[in-house]
Amino acid sequence: MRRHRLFSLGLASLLLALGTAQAQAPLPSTFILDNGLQVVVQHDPRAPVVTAQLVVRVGSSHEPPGQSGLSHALEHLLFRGSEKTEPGEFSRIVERLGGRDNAYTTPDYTVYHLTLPSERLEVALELGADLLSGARLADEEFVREIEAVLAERRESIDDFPTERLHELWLAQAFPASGYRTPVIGWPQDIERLSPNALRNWYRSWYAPNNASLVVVGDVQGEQVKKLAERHFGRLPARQLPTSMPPLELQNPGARTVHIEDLHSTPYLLMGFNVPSRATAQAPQDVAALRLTAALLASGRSARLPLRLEREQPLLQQIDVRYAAIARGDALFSLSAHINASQPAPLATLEHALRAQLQQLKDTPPTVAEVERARNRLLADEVFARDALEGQAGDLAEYLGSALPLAWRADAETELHAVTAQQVQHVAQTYFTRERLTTAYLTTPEPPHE
Amino acid sequence: MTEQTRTPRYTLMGLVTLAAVVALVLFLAKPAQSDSAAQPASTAAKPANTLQSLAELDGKPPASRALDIQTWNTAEGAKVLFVEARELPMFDLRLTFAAGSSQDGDSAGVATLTNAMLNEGVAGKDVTAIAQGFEGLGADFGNGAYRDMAVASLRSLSAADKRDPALKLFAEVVGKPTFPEDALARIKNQMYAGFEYQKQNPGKLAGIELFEKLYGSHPYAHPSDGDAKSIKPITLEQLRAFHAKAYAAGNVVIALVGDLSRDEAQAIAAQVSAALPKGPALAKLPQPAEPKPGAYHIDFPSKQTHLMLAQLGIDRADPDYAALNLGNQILGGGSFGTRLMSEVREKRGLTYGVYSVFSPMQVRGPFMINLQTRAELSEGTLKLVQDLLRDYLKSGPTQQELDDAKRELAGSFPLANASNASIVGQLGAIGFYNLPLTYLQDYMQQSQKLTTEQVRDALNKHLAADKMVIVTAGPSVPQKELPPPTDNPTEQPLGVPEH
Repeated sequence: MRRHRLFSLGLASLLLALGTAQAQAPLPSTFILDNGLQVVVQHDPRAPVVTAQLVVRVGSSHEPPGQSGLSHALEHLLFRGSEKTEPGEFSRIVERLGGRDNAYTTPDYTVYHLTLPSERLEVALELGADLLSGARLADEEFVREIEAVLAERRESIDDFPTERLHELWLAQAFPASGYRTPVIGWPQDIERLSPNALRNWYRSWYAPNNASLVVVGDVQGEQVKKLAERHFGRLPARQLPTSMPPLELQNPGARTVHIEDLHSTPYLLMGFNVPSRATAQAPQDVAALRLTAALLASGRSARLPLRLEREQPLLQQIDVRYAAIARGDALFSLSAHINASQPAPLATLEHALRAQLQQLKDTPPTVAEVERARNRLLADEVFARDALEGQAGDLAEYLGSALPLAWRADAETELHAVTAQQVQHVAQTYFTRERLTTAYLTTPEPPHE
Repeated sequence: MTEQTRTPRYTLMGLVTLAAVVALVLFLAKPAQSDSAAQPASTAAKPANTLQSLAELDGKPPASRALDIQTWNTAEGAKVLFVEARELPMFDLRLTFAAGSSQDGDSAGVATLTNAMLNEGVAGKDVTAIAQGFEGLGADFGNGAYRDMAVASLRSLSAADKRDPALKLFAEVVGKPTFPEDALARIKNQMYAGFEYQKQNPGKLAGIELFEKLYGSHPYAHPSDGDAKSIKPITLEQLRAFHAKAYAAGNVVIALVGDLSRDEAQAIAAQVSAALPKGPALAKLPQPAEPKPGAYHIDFPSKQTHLMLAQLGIDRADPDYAALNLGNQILGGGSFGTRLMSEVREKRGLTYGVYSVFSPMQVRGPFMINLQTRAELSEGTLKLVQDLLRDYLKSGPTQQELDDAKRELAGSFPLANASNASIVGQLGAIGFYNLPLTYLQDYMQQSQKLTTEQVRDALNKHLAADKMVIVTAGPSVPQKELPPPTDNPTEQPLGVPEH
């Protein structure tokens, strides 16, 4: 099943030296075809394998009210027949060649990716160009596929109270921007989608000048350029709809949402409106927020697992996220379940989490904590280069958000420079009540307290 | 970017699920199922596409990364496999002990508990200090216990200021764990919670039952975690004793991949090996006895019924492995267009996914077919699957099916060696199962030479349609007839496969 995702995953690749020459990833080569298609090639000769990703800059945040889910439904439909392939044949071709493929939709962009032996790269590019321009979007395939999308929604969202809560929370957390729209779409909107709406959406956004092609692996830029020109070069550039980066209110006010479910372990989700790398006045704040997230919850010895999971058995599955790469504003979120084996009220957990955030505001973290978090983030960026798909996904994140690739290297420098005082500073600046949306999942109150 | 969730959040429950998977680690990395549609795909036998680049492919198998595997033994008798990979400033170290749950003896769960306790305490450090030690260096420690093996692994940057302290701590954790009492209580509590949780999971229950029926009194019969009753009385003394014999230097394979010279790799292997308890390899397991065929049902109030069909397959040393694996790929090992998938899902819409697999282990592992379907169609579906297997064993694959499968296998081969993470897994399996260093190439060449007759004969040598042990889990409801096969089934399958 193709997965949508609400947060984009992936890490900025390492460009700075870590003390040895080979710590430097080679710079990707970039060129733009006459029709505006941006092509980025990252050479990695370790194995004769290549990953190709087609990134189209349209996602749920572009969708008008009442038509949520358009981008994701379109992603599904693109595999159901084109000029060159029969419905369902795309994945079969890739599998028969020993490769793998998948696709996902985010709020900002949609990605189609294939991994194949490198000498078969041309098949991937021909398939990619066919996705971008040759989709059939036939009525009968729409009817079948929209059922699949509705089933996906039921199985991946509606049957999971934490997922439903997450959707409602996003709708509160982004009062002014398209980031409130769920990637998969609201159920009543999915039911109202039409083949024509999808065709219009496809014609509006699927153009070479709104897409990037990322190729990572055992290939050279020149070779990719030749193949890209052969398969994508004939596609005409098109006038694109106007689209503004999603920006949020400076002080949206405290918001809450609450749902109940009889069978769930109580769960808390908190999110602060914060800038992303694209919208931050001070890029250093972004690096400090990234480091704060790692300091709080990355690893068993991070603050929250240590203090609220083992020292006090209050929570389980603590998760702290900050997606810094986006075309608009972002959230800094914390979520956790209560400890089911020693259940305390959800309010106790909320109180404890808030107290931990207050402590960050009151006292800068120790140097050792900052170093631990920083070392972890830096090492992760090296480890992420082990998988071609990881490298390509990281590039896709920047390209899909239309951010300069040079910022990947800057992110590294900025991370190196973060101090304990800056962590305290971003905590004081952003972890405020006016920026906070809190979501609660509880079991219905028993008749007595 | 999401940067906080790298730590594997494996619960002990998760380890059991992994057990089946790890048995397949050697070159069985299947392309991820990536079908977007709940709907059956077109079943056109011949591709209808007009891709020019596809038509131009010459049909030659693609090149793959040449692995220069170096091997030696440490002074204490540990076998080492090493691949130098200088491109990234990092390395992977993976220790594979013959210390899985098949070594549990009368205390089911002792292998899993021992493995889970490794990083709970060493001299002068508790669980938090150990975590701080690794995480402060940016290093990842990993562990897990399965039926054949128990694993401890380290991924670290290769710069000496990170590598040396990470290795020192790793050596203490695997070689000199202190087994603190409070940690044992905490881990047992997590496992009790896991056992409660799995009572709500019919697929899980069916899997446990299947192994019990398949293996009877053999050490593979019980789940790696044991159960609530079996882990309760397990003492720290037992864990220490298990560690002393099963984590011995003679009972481990050390796999290393990354930014290291041969000398550095040799020094690392020597350091880790010297830290382990002294001792020989444990005795090999006996082969399991043939199970009695039969069908068993677990009544469970779900909408779907889980169907599992199995018999004993092969061990890792079996010379028929290549033929069986290729034959299985055509039957139900791939994601699209396998016989089972096309008949059960695409033509009849009875399931989201149906898969078959050989899991070769140290001694005979299972051959399994696994699917879910609507409860009221479960009997008909079961019979359909049995008929499909019977037909396939009788006729064997067609030439077209075999050619397609060979091409797919050859194409996926380069992907299997692409990352350090996948190579270290391959090395661990080659060492653990005592396979030749040229195993991957041999396997590929052997597969490409197979004929339809050879595949059919190998399948019939090892499988028989009437010898299946069958476990179903689901509600007992009046049964309906199956719909006839069609290219456009109207009935939509329920639920998603558990994979």
